[in-house]
This record gives sequence, C-alpha cells and structure tokens, in this order.
Amino acid sequence: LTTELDLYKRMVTIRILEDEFQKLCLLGEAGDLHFNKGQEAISVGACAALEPTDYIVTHHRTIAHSIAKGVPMRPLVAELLGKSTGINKGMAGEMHLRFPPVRYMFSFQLVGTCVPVAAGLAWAVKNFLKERNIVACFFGDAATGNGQAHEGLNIAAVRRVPLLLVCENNGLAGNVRKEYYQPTKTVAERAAGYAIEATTIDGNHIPEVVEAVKTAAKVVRETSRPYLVEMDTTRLCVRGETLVLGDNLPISAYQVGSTAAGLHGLGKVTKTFRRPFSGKLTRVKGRGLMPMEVTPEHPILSCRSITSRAKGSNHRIVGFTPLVWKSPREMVEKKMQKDGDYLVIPRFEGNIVTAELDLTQFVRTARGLHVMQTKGSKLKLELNQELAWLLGLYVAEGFKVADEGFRLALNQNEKDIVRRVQKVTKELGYSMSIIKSKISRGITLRVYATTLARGLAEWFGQGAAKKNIPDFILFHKNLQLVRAFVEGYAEGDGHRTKSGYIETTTTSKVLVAQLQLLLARLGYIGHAYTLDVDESQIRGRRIAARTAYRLRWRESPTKSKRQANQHVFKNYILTPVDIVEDVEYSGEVFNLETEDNTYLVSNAVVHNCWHKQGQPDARPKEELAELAKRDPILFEEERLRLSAAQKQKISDTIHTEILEAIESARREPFPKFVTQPQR
Amino acid sequence: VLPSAPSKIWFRNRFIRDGIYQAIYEKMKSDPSIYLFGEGSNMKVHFDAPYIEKDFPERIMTLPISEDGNTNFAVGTSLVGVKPIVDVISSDFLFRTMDSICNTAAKLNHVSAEIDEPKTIVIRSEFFLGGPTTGQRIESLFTHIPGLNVILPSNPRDARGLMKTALEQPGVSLFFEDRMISDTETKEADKDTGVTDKIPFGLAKVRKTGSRLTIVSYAITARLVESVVDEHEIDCDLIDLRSLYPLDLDTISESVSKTGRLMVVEPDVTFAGTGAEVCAGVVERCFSDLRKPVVRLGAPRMVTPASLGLHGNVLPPRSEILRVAKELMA
Repeated sequence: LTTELDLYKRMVTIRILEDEFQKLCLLGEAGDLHFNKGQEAISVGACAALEPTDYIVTHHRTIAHSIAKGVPMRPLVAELLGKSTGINKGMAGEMHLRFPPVRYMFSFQLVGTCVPVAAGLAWAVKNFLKERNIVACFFGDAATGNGQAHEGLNIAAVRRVPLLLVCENNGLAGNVRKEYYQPTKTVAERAAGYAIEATTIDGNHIPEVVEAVKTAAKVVRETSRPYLVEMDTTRLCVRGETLVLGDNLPISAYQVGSTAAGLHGLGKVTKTFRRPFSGKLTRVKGRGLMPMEVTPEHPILSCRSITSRAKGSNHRIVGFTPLVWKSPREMVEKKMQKDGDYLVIPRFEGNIVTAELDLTQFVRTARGLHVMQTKGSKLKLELNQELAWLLGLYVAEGFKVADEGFRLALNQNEKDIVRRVQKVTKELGYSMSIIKSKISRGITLRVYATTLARGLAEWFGQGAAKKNIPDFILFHKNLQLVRAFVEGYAEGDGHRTKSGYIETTTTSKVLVAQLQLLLARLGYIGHAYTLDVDESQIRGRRIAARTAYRLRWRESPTKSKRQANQHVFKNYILTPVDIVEDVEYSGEVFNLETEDNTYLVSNAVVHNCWHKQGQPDARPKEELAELAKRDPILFEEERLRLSAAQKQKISDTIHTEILEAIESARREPFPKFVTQPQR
Repeated sequence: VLPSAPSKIWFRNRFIRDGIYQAIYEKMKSDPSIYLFGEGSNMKVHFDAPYIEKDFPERIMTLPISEDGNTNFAVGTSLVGVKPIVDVISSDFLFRTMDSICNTAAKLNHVSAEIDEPKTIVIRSEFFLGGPTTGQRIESLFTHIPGLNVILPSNPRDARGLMKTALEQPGVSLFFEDRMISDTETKEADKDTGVTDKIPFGLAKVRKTGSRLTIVSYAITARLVESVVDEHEIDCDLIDLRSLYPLDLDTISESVSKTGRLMVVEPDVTFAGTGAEVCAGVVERCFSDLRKPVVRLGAPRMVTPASLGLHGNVLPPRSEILRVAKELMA
C-alpha cells in the first residue's frame, strides 16, 4: 500500500494545488472555487484507508478528495479550468467532479445531497453489482442541518447499506458558528438517532484518520451497515500579531524552545502551530486588559461570579465558581447586577533570586576594564532597592548614548529625582553631569557609564517602542525590589491624576503588558488602554510612534468605580469580561504549546491547546495529537522527521508538476457548447 | 384480464397505469438493471401489477416518506448502472423532491458528459382532483428545466409505448399520469394490446383530422375535447401532445397552416403554461397562415378546491370548448 511519505506528498499536492488555484481565482482565470485548506488529512487518510475499489461520493470542496482518490493531475487541472481535456470534458466545473475510473463517483454542490446519493450508490453496489466494496460519503458537519442528509442517514440505516459516512467537522457552516446550526456537541450524537454507530476522532492527525477509517470500513464491509466517523478539525488559535510575554514577541515569531509566560510563570515552548483561517474570531475584552482575539473554541481560564440574591440586600458578589477552561463563545459579559465571567490575571510568585548584576559580559575592551578599575566603578552591582529604582527610572526616561553612557531626560521640577540619581550613581562609582535645556524646562542627566549603558540597553531594550522589563525584575522573588522598580518607573514616566491614579504612557506594548503583570504581583490592578493618535504625547512632548499605550493604577486600597468588580486573590486577579464579540478575520492563525499548558494573551491566561473541560491534560500521544490540531501537513513533517531539504525537494517537485499541468491546461480549448433543442 | 373501472376518481385510470406497468414488466424482462423505488412501492405493485411482484420481487423497493432523499437515492443507484423508476406518488410530492430532480438528476448526464454511459432515470407521478395540495398540476414547471423530459399520455397504448422509450432512452423523464381519465371512456383502439411498439418522445399524435380548426391538447383535456368533438362532429384536427418537452411543433404548425385556426385546451393554469408555448411556437412559425387569433382554454387561476362539489369547475367545461370551437370556425 501507500507509504506515509506518499500520504504526506498527497497532502502537500492538495495544499499547493489549492494555493495555485487561489491565485488563479484572483487573476480571474479560474471561477469560484471551494478549498479544503487545513483538512487535507481527512480526505487523504480516508482514501488511503479504503480499498482502491471502494467508491466515494463527496461534497463541494472537491479538490482534496479527487487528489486523494487518485484522479490524475493534468485532466483534473484542465477540468478545474473548464477545458475540454478535463476529466468531465470541462462540463463539471469544480463542484460536480466525477471520475468513475478511480471510483470517484460524484460530488455535489448542494450541501447534504451527497448523503442520500451515497446511500443509493451503496445499496446498488451491494444489491445490483453484488460487490463487497463499500461507499464512503464525505460531508461537513453543517450538512446535518439539512433535511437531505437526515433522509439519507435514515434510508441508509433502514436499508442497511454498506456506507461509510465521513463527517468533516470544522465547527463552521460557511461563516456561521456551530451553535447556530447544531444543538448537539458532536455529529456522532446525531447518528445515534438513526441507530448508526459512530466515533469521533481527531481529523488532523493522519495516522489516526487512517486507523479509524480502516476499522470503520471493516465494520461496514462485514456487517453491511452504515457507520459514521466524525473527523474533528476544531481549530484553536490566535492571530499572528498577538503579543506573547516571555520572549516578548508576536506569537508568529515564537519557536520551539522560546520562553513564554504562563499561569505559573515562565515556561518553554514545546510546539508551535500555524494554519490559515477565514471566518469569525471572538474578541474578548477583560476590564483593564487589552482585547484579545482568539478562535471561538480557544479555552480561556475563567470563573463566574456568584451574586447574593438575598431579599432586601443590594447586588453583592459573594463568591466565585472554581476556575475552569471556557471557550469565549460560552462567556457571558459581566453586567451590572448580573453574574458574568471573569478572566484571570496571574500574580507570579517570582522565582528569580538574582542578587547582583554582572557587567563582565558588557566589558568590551581591556582598556574599558582598566578605566573601570581605576575609576572604582564596580563590575558586579548589588541589586538592591536603590538600583531597582534607578532601573525603573531608566526604563521610563533613559536612553543609551554610545561612548558616553546613558542619559535620563527629566524635568527641572523633579529635583528629588535628580538628587536620588546622583546618590545612586555615586554609590555605583559613576560620575554624572546635569545639562539644562535652553529652550524648555527639560534637563538631561548624563551618567558616564558605557559598560552599564550597554547592559541597560541589553536588558531593557533600545528605543522607546522596544523598552521591556527583563525576567530578573519581572520574576524577582523579592517584592521590595519590584516595588522600587515600579516606583522608579512611575516617578519617571507617570503622573498622578486628580482622581488618585498613577498614569503612565509609553509606546512599548510589551512594556505595558509587563508592567501590568508587575503591578498584579504587587496587588495593584493596572488598566491598560490604547491611545488614539492625537493623544500620543508623553508629558507634553509629541512622540513619533503611531500607537501609544496608557497604563493607570491606584496604590490606595480604596477601589474606584471601575475597579469595583476586580478582585485580588493570592495567586491571581479576577477581572470581569466587558465585551465578547465576533470579528471577521482571514489570514494565518497561530498557537503554542508550553510546559504548563498555558500562556498569556493580553495578560489573561489561555490554554495552549484543546483539552476538554474537566479532563486531565495528559492524553497519550498528546504532543502529536495537539500538534495535529493546527495543520495536518506540519504535523506530518514533524512526525516523519523530514529535513528542510527533503520538504523543499518534495514541494518543489509537486509545485513544478502542478505548474506544468496548469500551463498545459491553459493552452487547451474550451469545450463545445452543446445545447438541447429549445422545444 | 383488466379490471373493470368503477366510476370513483380514486379507481379510475387503471388502464393507463396498466399500460405503464406492462411496459415496465416488459422492459424488466430484458433489462436486469431496471428497479422500482418509491414510497409504498411494494404495496402499489402488489395491487396494480402483481406480475411484477411475482417475477421481480427483488427489484421493487419501498423507501421511507422522504421524497427528496428517495429521488437522490435513486440517482445514487444510477451511478453504477441501475435504471431507477422512482414513484413519487402524487404530483404535490414533486415539490418536495424538486431539488433532487432539478439539481441532481437533471444535471447528471450533462456534467459527466462523455466520460460515462448516460444515465436513465424515470420519475413517475400522478395528477388527480383532490384538494389544494392533492393532485395539483405542475407539469409546466418541469418543462422549463434543461435536462428533463416531461411525458403525459392520455391513453394506455401511448402510456405503454412512451414508458418503453423512457426506459430505453438515456435521460431523466418525468412520467405523469392523469388519474381522472375515465377507463370506461377509453376507446378500444387506445387500449393496450400488449404488442405496442415504443413511441418516441416529441411526437404528437393526431387523433382526428379535419380542415377548419386545430385543437391542441394533452392528457385529461385531450380526452375531454375528443368526446366533445366526437359528439358534435366538429371538423377539426385534434392533436394530443403526449410529451410536453420535447414539444412536437412540426405537427402542430403543419396542422395550423392547413386550418388557419388554433385552440389550445389544457388542464393546467394557462399563464406561462404549455399552451402559451404552443401558441408562441405557432405564431413564430406560421403567423401568416392564422386566420383568427389563437385561443387558450385552461383551468382557472385557483387552487384545486377540496370540495367534491367544486371539482367540476377545475377543467374547462364542455360547453365552453364547444362554444369557442364554433366561434373560431364561424
């Protein structure tokens, strides 16, 4: 039979063919086509598990099935382009393909039609042809909203036809989410209504598909009864630009081995996933958090409030349900007087105990080292509160100047700060000068510490938009240091508002997210906002960046109105869900797998991969299975341990073949337009 | 021996049905791929054609009351060479299976063009007078869909010949029968003798020849008109269409060229009906030969009444047919 590599190649063929046709669609050379991206494992796996003499009937996303069943490339491409050399002489288009030589019997544009037709075919194969072959019918989960599918299931069950029903469940009907067309959790449940046996498996996991279809086909062949295999292709992901803390990169830039912050602090990324997506993402906005956009099934850690309903008392939250993983579509916005869902912002314990900062690695030349030694500046700086304060101030106002050290831009009013900086730098053994601006009230502190400046640039990032907080602060065990750092930052960047908030503005998204977590560690609730372009000023100075972020928090224990519904616990802060809404998105989506199975999106804890609520994380073969959730092709690459060169070679060969097929089909004539007489 | 025909609506038209079943039986004997599917098919065959039940019990299959699924099921069987006859009992149920007929079956042969044997599918249904959704006329709807033949015989002999063609010729045929046609009035010559040759589609039958008027009709109204014409000895050509698509315009226009007058009598609502198509064809082909404006008679634009007392109002009355015919010939 076919080897696993062959199956992989077939999936790649489908992917590349569809990609090429997508281009042709955009160019206007091909008509409206329907693709099967991300679900290649089902058609390829199922057709490989069937006997070559078995029949298939499919739905309107035909390219995958025809390749999987072995329709030759050139006539197929010609058919898709409507040319007379196509498998159906150019008369079928994409959605009515039919190629009996490989027992690809028919495909139907109208959703649901394939089921009764396949039932009839299976009946005829058994009773008319008297063969032992079976018929496989591919249909989507959305087709089960259609009467024909049910009529077909009914007849198939009543007449005991050898029909293998393969349901490609992607939780979508066009662009409509599952809850609008399917009351049951699975399609398999529906089969029970017709006394049809059914299983649900992971449809992105090709070995699992092959195995399940083989087993099911055996049952169908031996008992001559219909059997339904539901291929779950449910997808959980977030958009590529989503910032993930840890390595502080967009999720699309994460790789295996990167570090990501999760519920329990930092962890390693063990897998990364990407896949194309088109449809509705769910945007969830927790109070004070930036909105996050995730696929509708993506589990987010949350809990629901329990409100006192005692007579005569005011609306009062008396408790919370335990934390559970919940998909955003199940979430309820927290409204006044009503119970709603809460997101979880973790309060890291902190496990880093760095006591001193080592500058040795930033010493570049022997001369530099000599200068430091003669000047008495230390190579190892004790990480105390004073230094942490200075680091905070640097993050707010500092920048590195080559061959000089670093500078802090302050205001003439801030005399206390100047004095404190003087004191700290002196203790560290650095000299400093103060330059007053001639045109404004600004002053610049120049600290002559080239080595330290290199360290600062390395730790905290260079340029305002790239500022971030290194792990040794973010996860430092000593909360006093953290507090000093935040103080330093607030004194540099922040100001107090009349209502008692400390408000800071920065252009670094990473910094805002990290500060929010730092504040959470201190038990403060930071509210983050994105500012409009017009407001992009930091203390009177216009800034060049396009987007700025504001973070405000209160140190006093009294809560403001907006904070009234946020609750600080020992290990986390609960913040109410303000908005749950759909957003259209088309593009690639990503996911990670991490050591503790969580990571943070917009500082709320999300699950790294799907596991059903209440079930333990560990499933056998989980790593592979979870990877398969994203892209069956990437999964196979990983599983077969294909090298980059191998992958390239395979895809190049296939690509060439496809391009040649398209090129030759282009030269072919269109079919003759044969008509029936008018009367 | 054919049963004698009681006068009640439900039991009329045994002869036509017999013609159909005789044809099916005859073809089943020579062609092992013919199968009968439908709601309650076994029972129907048991009563109407026990000889089929006796000889080919395995080729009759009762399906659930799911018209759409049933027709698609039959289409599925045709993919591996079965020639299914789908019995959609009453014409109203055809609305239920419109999708599988028009979207699936009608497109089948077109799509797989020349790569495969073209498929033969026959869909049977009946018209009768019952009520708003019991036996309504919908034959014209199907004449509009490319890929379908629409057949409507008016007597057992035609039924047998046409059914044989339907089972031999590739394509999807809608084979209707008028249950209201009275057996007692079937002429001896029209009865199925059992040796009928097949009748090609698209060939109208000139049932009577005359010189002063052309009357075009089909099914129940053809029988109605014929009895009026015979009674009053009207000097006219009476053409029974037999198939609505393909339509035999040659015979019609030839006759109209001779007589110069055209009257179409149809059992369906006239608006956008077969009569309109016939008249348009005649006007296109032999406008100059027309001596009088064409006239169409048909059912009033009204749902079929459920009351038995009102059923008489549905078809054009004999007196009206006679009046119009005389007026045209005057």
